[in-house]
Amino acid sequence: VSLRIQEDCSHLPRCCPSKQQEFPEEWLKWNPAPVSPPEPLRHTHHPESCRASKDGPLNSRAISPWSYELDRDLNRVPQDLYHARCLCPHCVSLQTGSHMDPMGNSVPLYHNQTVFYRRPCHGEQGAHGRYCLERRLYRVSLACVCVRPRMMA
Amino acid sequence: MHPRRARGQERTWAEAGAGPEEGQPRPSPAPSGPPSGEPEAGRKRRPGEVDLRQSSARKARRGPSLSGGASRERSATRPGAMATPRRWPRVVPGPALGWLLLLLSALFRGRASLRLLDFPALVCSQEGLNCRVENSTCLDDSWIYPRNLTPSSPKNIYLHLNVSSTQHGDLVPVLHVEWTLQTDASILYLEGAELSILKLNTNEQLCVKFKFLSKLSNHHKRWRFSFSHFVVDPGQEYEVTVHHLPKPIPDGDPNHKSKTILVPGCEDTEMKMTTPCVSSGSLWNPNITVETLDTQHLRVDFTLWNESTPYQILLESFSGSENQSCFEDIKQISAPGQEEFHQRSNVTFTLSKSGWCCHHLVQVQPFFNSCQNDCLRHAVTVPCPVISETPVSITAADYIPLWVYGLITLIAILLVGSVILLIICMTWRLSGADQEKHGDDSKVNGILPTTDLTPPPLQPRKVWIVYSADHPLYVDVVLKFAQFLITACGTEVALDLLEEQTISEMGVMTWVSRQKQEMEESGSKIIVLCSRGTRAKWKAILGWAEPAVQLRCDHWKPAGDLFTAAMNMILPDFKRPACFGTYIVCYFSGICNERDVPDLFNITSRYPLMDKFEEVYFRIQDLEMFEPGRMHHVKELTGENYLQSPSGRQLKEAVVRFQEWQTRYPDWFERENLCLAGDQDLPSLDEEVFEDPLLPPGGRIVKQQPLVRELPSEGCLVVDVCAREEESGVVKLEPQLWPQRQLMAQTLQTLVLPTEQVPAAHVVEPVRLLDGTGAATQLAIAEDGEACPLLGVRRNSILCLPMDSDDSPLCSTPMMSPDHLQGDAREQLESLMLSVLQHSLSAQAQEGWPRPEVVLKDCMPSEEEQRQSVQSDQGYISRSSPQPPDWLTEEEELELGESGESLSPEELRSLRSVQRRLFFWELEKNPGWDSRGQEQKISLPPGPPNPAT
Repeated sequence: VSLRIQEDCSHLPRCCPSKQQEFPEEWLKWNPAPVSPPEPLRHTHHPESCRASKDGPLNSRAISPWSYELDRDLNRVPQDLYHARCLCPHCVSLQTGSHMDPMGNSVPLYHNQTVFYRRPCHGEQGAHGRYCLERRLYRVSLACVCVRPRMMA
Repeated sequence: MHPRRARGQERTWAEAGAGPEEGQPRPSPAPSGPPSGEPEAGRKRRPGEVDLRQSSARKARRGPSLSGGASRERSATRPGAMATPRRWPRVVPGPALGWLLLLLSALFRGRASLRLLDFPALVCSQEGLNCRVENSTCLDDSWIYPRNLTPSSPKNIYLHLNVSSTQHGDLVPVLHVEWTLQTDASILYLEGAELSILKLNTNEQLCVKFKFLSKLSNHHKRWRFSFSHFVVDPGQEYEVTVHHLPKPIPDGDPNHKSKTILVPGCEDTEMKMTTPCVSSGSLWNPNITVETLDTQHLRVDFTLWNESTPYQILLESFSGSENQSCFEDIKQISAPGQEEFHQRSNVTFTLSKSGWCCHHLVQVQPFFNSCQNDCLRHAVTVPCPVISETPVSITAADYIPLWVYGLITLIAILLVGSVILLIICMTWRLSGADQEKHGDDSKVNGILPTTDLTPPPLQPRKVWIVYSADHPLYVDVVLKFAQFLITACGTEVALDLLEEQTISEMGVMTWVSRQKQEMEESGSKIIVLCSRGTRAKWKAILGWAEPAVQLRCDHWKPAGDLFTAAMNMILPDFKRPACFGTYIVCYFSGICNERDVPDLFNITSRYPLMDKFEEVYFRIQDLEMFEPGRMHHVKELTGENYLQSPSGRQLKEAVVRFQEWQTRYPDWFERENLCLAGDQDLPSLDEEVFEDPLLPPGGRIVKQQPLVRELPSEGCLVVDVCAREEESGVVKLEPQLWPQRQLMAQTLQTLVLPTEQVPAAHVVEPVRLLDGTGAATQLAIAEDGEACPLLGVRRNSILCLPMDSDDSPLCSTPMMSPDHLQGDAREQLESLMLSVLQHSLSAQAQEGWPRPEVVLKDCMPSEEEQRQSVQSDQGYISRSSPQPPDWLTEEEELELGESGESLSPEELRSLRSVQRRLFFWELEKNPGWDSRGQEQKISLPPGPPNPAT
């Protein structure tokens, strides 16, 4: 990051001094609390497409098949993130690929990814029109897995 | 495939050719820069150079791992051939390094991260635009330092998949991106573009920046840009986004555009030939063969691939019918050496002992480096031997059943056809039956109109109403009923109230018998109206012990009680069932009860009036109300319709009046019955008693006076006639006894009465009734009670008949009447003389039987009455057949006697003396005859005139 900043300064030599002065104060913010995806990205199941095929990528061949949903935020880096959405509440039979087996649960697998949000800098908001980057953890579902249900025997 | 490869290669060569041209514009911007910037530019170049070196080093490392004869040839043919000899010596001296490189390459392959195609060079300049491709961190400065003027978004994005070969000869899938600009003025502020590729399953992102070194001017068509260096993996999904630079302000309109693409898997014919797919076994054909050694063992053969990796043979068995696994087994095959590449390998499985677990699925799973635990498997299915056998048997069975099925089909068709035919026949028959029914309906309809059009004709009829005059109001009801019959029904009615004069002239019994005869001859009906009086009178007729019924109305009527007379006439008919149809027994409901009907009529139908009058009318007409399929009605008489006529209403009013009277005086009948009346009615009885004795003496006085007057007034002629009568009387009186004299006196009175019809009638009737009752009393004591009253009544009727015959001649020839009367008198006198002679003879022989003599005397007239009744009622002929001969013999005897008497007057004188002697003798013997003696005294007044004459 520092190298990049230097490169940027090389591109714009006139602004280098002012930038150097502001960086230590607001350039990077850290908020350890993870952010959840919006409501529409909640897991909703589509029974009609609940099946596993013999070919194709992993999401279509899994007994807990899933699809990808786009999560786009223009004030975030990376701007586009894809979440895995489970297609079945339970698992698909390995034998047939279409018969649903209620003995298993299809659950998403989450990962907290580091993202940066563009926020107005405090103090000199309207004066110079500059923005600061806020670093945060963002929960992203990578895939769905089939697990055995927990039971009270 | 070949043409595509050729195209790919051509493109790469074209790009390589363009390289030097692009290299030339680069030194030009350097001199134009400021002098202070030169060292900075130099620094920039230094990092670029370092990067190139590193990339070249990486390429050198990759080269030996993928090196082969083909790769050497390719490198020799290419312009970079000079570098390859340098790399070879490095690899040759160090085998350990080679192993390390292999491991590293494996790791890199496993990761399969996003990367750019290393050959040809990246170029983005085109005519009219000086551009440079740079690496990007996907974070442009304009995103942090917003600009006031920003361009619009790209117009279109076009993605296309190609297969390109790398510098080292690897075939990899490459993504070709192409987009255009919008034709607006914002292109004047477009400083570049940022291309990013995002892998969906890992959210990995790679960016490249197009930096415009000169401003865009107006283009004759449209600005178009392209990029073809994104390397992708088979079977993965990617998103490509083009951002125009500078980026917009936070709340501004976005100036980017995205598009996704799914790369086909290794099954694709084009992808199959790519290096990633080949390394994962896309070109491997194991050619699996399964052989069943015996029922318990299974042998599997397959061909190994040219990669030293282990294999697993998986066996899963299922039952023939079910789809459940019943047996599993796995065999492991170690990694083969280079010598065993493309060689056959085999394993033997021991099957389950159960025979039904016979469906086998055999899979061969390789573990190649590129796909490791997720390599493509090859499978073979072995069906059950029984299944293989059953098809044959099934076919055999199917062959025979085919004929059977054919037969069944034919039979079914025949059955269906027969059923259809039956249905058709049934419908035809039903249609025929319907036609017949329709015909019947039409016939029935035809009959009804004809019957309606031609109702049965109603003939004029006559009925005789027999009733008991219980009360003046009841008599009024009867009169209204008769009037209703005459006016509303057109029926002639025979009613005593309407023919009182005729009854007075003829006599009660004569009139009653005549009516009955007329009804029988004309087939008319006799309506018997029952009431309290009918019940009481019937009981009186049957049980003589009960008190007699003498109703006030009957007493006032000149004809007296006709119901009892009629009942005596009717009674014989009810011993013959054939006569029941003549009688219609009715009673007025409301003022009379069904119990008022005498028991005699229990065997016949009884009709309450006026409810059942319609039925009564049909009986009068001798028609049936109900016939098969027909029912007759007379609207004017049905139910209460008779009230529509004035006579009907009057009848109803009369009934209501009598009903009110009954309600007011519950004991109305007892009041009307003179025999049962209380003290209040005693005066009326006394009056009757006074009237009865007054009439006879008055009548006697009248008899005496006119006789005396008539005799002298007639002179000699009259004297002769009177002398004859008187002489005959005197002659008879002298020889007869006192009781005989009484009888003679009675007869004389009867003889005299016709001369004075009107007063004589009034006087004679009560006398006869009294005598009749007395005679009846005596007879009852002597003989059966049931027969005696009938005989008494017949006596009266017998006495009346000659009078009727006399009346008719009187009307025609009044001068002849005295002769006829004299003739009748003579006959009676002669009969009496004969009886006296017989009695005298029997008396002389048996002195102890005076009463039997009297009985015999009384029986003689009764027999005569029977004769006359027989003449009127033919039913008695058979019963009284033995009696007529006796009467005939008696008549002959009478004729003989008459001739003798007329011849000898001396005999007559002797008879007179004998009669006188017998008279005095009886008086001496029976002192109880004093009362009779008094009666004789009463009868003596006519005696003195006889001696005088």
